[in-house]
Amino acid sequence: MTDERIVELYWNRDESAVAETQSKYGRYLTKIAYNILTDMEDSLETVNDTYMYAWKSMPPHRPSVLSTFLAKITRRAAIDILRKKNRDKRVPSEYTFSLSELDELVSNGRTTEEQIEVEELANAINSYLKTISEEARHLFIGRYYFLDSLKDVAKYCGMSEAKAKSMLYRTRCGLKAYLEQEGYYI
Amino acid sequence: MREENRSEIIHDALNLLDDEMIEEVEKLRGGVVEKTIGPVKVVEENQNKEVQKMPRPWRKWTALAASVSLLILVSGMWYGGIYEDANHFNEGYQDAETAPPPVGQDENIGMEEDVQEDIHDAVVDGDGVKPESDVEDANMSGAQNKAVTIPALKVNLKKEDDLAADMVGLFIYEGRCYVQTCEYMAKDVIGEYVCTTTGLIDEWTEKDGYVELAGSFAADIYTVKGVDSEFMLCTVYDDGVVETFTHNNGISINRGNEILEWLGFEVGMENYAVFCSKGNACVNLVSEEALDIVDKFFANFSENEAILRKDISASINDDDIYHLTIVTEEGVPLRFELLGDSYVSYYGLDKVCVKLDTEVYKRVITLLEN
Repeated sequence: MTDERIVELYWNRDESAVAETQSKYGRYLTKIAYNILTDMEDSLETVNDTYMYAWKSMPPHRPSVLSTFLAKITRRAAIDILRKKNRDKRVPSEYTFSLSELDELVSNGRTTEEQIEVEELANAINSYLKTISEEARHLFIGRYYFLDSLKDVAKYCGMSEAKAKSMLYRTRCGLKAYLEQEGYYI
Repeated sequence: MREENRSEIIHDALNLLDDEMIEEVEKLRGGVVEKTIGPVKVVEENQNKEVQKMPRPWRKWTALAASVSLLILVSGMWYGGIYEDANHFNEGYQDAETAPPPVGQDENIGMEEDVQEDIHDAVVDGDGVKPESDVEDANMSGAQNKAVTIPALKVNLKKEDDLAADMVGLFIYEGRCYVQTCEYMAKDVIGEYVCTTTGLIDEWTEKDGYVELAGSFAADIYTVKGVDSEFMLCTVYDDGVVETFTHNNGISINRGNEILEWLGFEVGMENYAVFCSKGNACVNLVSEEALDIVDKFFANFSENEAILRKDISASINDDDIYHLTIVTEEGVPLRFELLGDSYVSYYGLDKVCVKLDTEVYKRVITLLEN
């Protein structure tokens, strides 16, 4: 079933919308959650929460690409669960590995209101990603948004792990320089 | 703010990435295979693209160049009197009066710079004094005879009113004079503690020469991660900014590879970033093509001879100089200046440059201009 058709089901408050979503995107969303949580039970719970949130948010939302819409919900929900459960101990996962990699981007400088900071930071990251090559952008998003392992990201971007690692490092350096230039201190 | 929260803010921001960019990657991730994770089968994205390893032909070329250099060096040694290390170049001279002054010795102090340069010219041109080896046959002289020497810096370490304010920043450590480079970096680059300088001295005369740990300021000195401490050290100021100091005088340099070795930069190494800048504009080079051009640039830099900047005719306005900056894995920025006419200089060693092959240089300029 097309995304448009599924979204229509949500808008018509047809309960088969959830079943259709699960059928089409269940595994995809579970993978995103699992990358973060590394626990199947928690991952499935996160995906169920995603369906519930999708039900509540459509309407008024009418996403043209349902997968992206749902992925963002799942990603955010999974990160929230992980933070709640493991604030003081690190569970090894792609999310925690990526935290240490992205830590290079943060300075020891001053802080700002977190919410405003997040949105402004998002704008800056979006702007920066548009300036770099498609290859570097795909790598960055695959690694730090989808939280796929370096091996997987390198594979679907069609390059060796060594090259992917090198390119990611350069992109992080470039992003850090860009953020500092734009006056972002985190 | 807790340190982990700062990184997490980045993740929250990533959740607000443009949908179009996410969709591009979703398509790449498409095509699935089943994989079991725990008790449940989870469909995992797979990719049909073949992993391509980029060819690195220049590595063979560099290895060949290195082999040829070694052959010349060995041949020169066979004819006698050629020394392996450029820094020991001075030791072979028989005539103490015309030999260049040894590094860091008291004899350097008080010598006017132009006198030292005259001696250097005599050495390089082979006038008056020749090493044991027969240098008439250029093929047998080896690269060693073409090393350039930067004389040791004449210093005044006496504590006098207003002197410190006018002095260039410098300090003496292990007989070497380190001079400020005006290159500023983040604290991440700081390595190990080395010493604490003492500043200027009440009782000092020229005869005292280089006094260990004396200098224009008193501060803690550290190594710079990944960089040879005999070439570069650093200090950190109260505001947390780090400035580097280089031992850029009283040294001899044969080829560009020596400079790169001091900097801890290996041509072809991974995990470094490349930036090009001109004026206030700065761009991060990430494409494979760009990086390949940069690799060739440094391979060429590595194998070509060092030249004194005062001996070249290229002149360029500061505003027109391109800078190519390598940021190492340790976060150390290494800035190179493109001076025009194929000359390239490392920023902290501004009296010396290397002339690259025209084509190699042009490719980089073309890359930077675009």
